[in-house]
Amino acid sequence: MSDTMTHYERMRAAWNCEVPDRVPYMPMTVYFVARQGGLTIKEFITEPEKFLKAALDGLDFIGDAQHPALNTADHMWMLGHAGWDMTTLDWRIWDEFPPHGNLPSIYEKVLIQDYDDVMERGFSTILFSTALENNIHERSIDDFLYYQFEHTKVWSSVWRRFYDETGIPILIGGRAEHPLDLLQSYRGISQLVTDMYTMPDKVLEFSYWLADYEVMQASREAVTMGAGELPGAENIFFYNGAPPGMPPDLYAKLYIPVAKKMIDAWVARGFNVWCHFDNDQTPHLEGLAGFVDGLPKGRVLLDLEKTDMKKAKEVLGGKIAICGNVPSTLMVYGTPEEVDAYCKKLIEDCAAGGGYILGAECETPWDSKRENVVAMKQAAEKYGRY
Amino acid sequence: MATFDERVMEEVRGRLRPPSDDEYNLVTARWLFGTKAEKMLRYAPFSFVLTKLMWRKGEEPWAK
Repeated sequence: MSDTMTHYERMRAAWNCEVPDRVPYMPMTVYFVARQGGLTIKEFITEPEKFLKAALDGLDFIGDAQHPALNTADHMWMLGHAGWDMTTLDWRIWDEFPPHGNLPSIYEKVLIQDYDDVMERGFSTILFSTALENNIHERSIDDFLYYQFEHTKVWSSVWRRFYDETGIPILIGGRAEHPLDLLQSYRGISQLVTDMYTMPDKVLEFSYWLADYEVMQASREAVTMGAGELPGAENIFFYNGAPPGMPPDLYAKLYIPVAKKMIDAWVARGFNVWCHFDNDQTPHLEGLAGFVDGLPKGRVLLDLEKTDMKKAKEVLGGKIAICGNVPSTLMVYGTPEEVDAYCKKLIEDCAAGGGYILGAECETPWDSKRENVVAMKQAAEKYGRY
Repeated sequence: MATFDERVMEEVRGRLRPPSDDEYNLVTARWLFGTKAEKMLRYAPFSFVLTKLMWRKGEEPWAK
């Protein structure tokens, strides 16, 4: 049976918890696309035209929406908040994939020493922190300004062409982090966890303080990427992970209300919110269900990594669309038959009544087997018909 | 006749309220300069002097 909806129509039906022609398929495949296209990490981050070609060459595994890569160049905060984050965090970026290089890595440091001080004097005071020592003075002014202000425009023009040629929308226009995720980088995970227990009210106050800027910059990025003109650019990719294993009481106090405030702000401004959740959110599903309270239908999607998807469907079904979560290990080490069986089970558990997108756990690993990624796409077509 | 994609884009354009430059600049200034944000914006471009005055003794990049 052939598809009767466009890619975008199918994705929108899923967001709306309505029944599409078949289950949409949307693994994030940024590093994988680059790797399959023979690009180095440096090429795919800095040369959008080459990434566009790799994406067009990869149409046999690209799904119903394509991650526009800019936001992986952002990942996490590497280029996107861009010039800024490369000067205030200790990123190590290699030119090549392993074994000659490595994936971009952040070296955590306690860069924020005092929450009150940062709220009083702002982030500018850590710009030249002597603790950072990331060779920021080796960057040129032109380099900083390009990545801070111009890079997004270049990516936007590339993805408009991708959509024109393929009809496949992009997954996201703007990207933001939950403040607790930002704090993992600026405060370090172990120090942040200590803070959550010893000064939770201060962490909460600081999170609200950070949230305003995150909402604004992601909205602006989405507009630059083409919100209202390029299908999918109206979606804000809201990265959530937080320190893994947060107990439900702390999660309810520190995580949910800040996230809800940010989601409400984006929706009020007309954007949709693609909530990407790392870690296992099964203990927090009831809280996540409240994300859509008071909002119009179809504006929020939860993309879940390690969460029990059957349970997620039980709690969230009919209220919020969900996406996930074929394991990364299966994509790298499994066989196409095993991927097929896993996808079949996910579709059986989650697809009834609509509101489900077949996806990977997080990013599809760069070294996944191509035949496994293709098997995932074929499974959506084989088992996902309504 | 408009396609599905075109119809949704029209709907999105109708509801979008992206940040104005003033809104964006104010929030960004608060993020960068905390309680000094309004001063930084009001006295630009001479507000660059404040960036030096905001450093506390011993933490200036030139102190080492």
